[in-house]
Amino acid sequence: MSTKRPTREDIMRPIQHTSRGYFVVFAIAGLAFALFLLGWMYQLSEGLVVTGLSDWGSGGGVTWGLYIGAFIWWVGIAHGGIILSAAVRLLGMERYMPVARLAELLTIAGLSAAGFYIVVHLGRPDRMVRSIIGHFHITINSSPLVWDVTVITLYLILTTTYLALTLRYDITRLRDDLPNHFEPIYKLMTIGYTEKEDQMVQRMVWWLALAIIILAPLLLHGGVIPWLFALIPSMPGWFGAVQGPQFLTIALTSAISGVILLSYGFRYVYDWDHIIADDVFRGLTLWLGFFCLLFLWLQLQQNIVGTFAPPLDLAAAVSAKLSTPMYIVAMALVTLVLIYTFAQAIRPAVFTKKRSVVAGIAVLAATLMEKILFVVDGLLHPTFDIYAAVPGTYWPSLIELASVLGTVSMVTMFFLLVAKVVPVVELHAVEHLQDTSRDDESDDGGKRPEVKA
Amino acid sequence: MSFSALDPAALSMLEVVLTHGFGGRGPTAGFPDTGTWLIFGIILVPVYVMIAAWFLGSPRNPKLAAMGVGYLVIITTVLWITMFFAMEVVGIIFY
Repeated sequence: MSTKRPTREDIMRPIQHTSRGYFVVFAIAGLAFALFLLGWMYQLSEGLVVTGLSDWGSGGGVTWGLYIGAFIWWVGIAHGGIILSAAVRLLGMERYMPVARLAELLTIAGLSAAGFYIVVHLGRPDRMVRSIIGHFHITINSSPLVWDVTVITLYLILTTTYLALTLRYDITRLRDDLPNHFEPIYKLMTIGYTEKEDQMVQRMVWWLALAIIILAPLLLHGGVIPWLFALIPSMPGWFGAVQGPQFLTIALTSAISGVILLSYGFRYVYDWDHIIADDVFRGLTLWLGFFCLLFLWLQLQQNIVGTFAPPLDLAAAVSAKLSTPMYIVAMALVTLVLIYTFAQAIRPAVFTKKRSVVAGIAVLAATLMEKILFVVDGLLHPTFDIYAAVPGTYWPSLIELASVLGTVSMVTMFFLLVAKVVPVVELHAVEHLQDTSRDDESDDGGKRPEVKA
Repeated sequence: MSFSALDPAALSMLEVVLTHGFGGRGPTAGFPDTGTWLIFGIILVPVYVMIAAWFLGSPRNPKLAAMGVGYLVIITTVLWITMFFAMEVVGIIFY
């Protein structure tokens, strides 16, 4: 473990210093995003038909494909933020404090990417807001799609409020070191701030964390999103109560993976080994393994139910899934990550941060494949094979494939920009690390060092 | 008073407001349907509890609690208004 002491200067470094690498990464991400935007503009001008998703007549019955799979994937990644924040605030797991804000930002970025996918998948996005707001009092009653939009909006609002409240403390104390050109933003964010509010705000964000931790994993990713599929009895690959827990466990694996990658990236670039310590990665890897176990356990449930004397429609859907190479690859990747997690728990020497990053990438790839396959396979194998006469089969169009690259780039640019405006590590985290470091030195009986503010 | 006891003209007016004239599952359109109790009676409960705790818990500061509610309202409004204008721009350019 590093012997360096965390300081305020450390967390200000992303704001105050801009390397050439920053511009290079920004340019690459910008180009990739622009490439996708070009594709989307073509789709807007020619119609959704250019993806083959606009009707039942060209893709073997598939009208929801990569767009919807990737939408679910991004919402899943978004959960990483609130899980870590909740772990810190509600369960007292202070080890994760240094990565809590990065993870909260990942929630906002991930949800934005997911919301973007909803817009991109619409044939006439210009009608979206008018359709939802103008008919909300009717559609909310019986449309799971509107439940989904409602709860995702709620999740985004609660998370943004959470972040906005916690940033008031940091911005006020770090104001002198923050760039003057963002002064209007800082003024707006700290409007009416007094030191007396700190205790009350801590209480408010505790309740916010509690509300989000119940709402987002249990009622959003274990609720309204799986209900988009699980309530349709004519699609045996989708139907059933197991989809709630299954969606949630898959989401949690991708969420933890996202946080591992992000934490590693910031630690590497800003030399934050004394802030985001190895212990954080060890802990996250264990969580990743635990959620992989649940992921595979629920897959087993579905596969046993679908292969041992199943109803005919379910037998066809599960048989098709099990014979798809992409499914086998996805499950193999998750299994390998589970094996790595167990191995590093038994023999700590097996653990390295780079291996955990590779595990995170493997899980992100596996969850994206599983989500797309879940959506597509469900549509390809309905009860009574009702789309048997529909020609063609589904393969993602270039625009759809570019959308994955585009949204990843969008999230990358989001972090590059936000890191220039506000500290991505909480000041509380640095203060906590300084206190811990001071206590450790005192326990050792050594001379108490001067801790740089 | 049941809705069937309403004057037909009033009922018709009510249908226009509640279902935009397309009818619904029940006599009052879809309003008392699954989504109603699911969203407002279950999913939003953590938010109700959170807001109640902001105002009623200790240390008590109703002004700050109101500011928290203000954040929720303002962010919701900004989000949907921004989206509205962005989508209108898409409509003007492409349709």
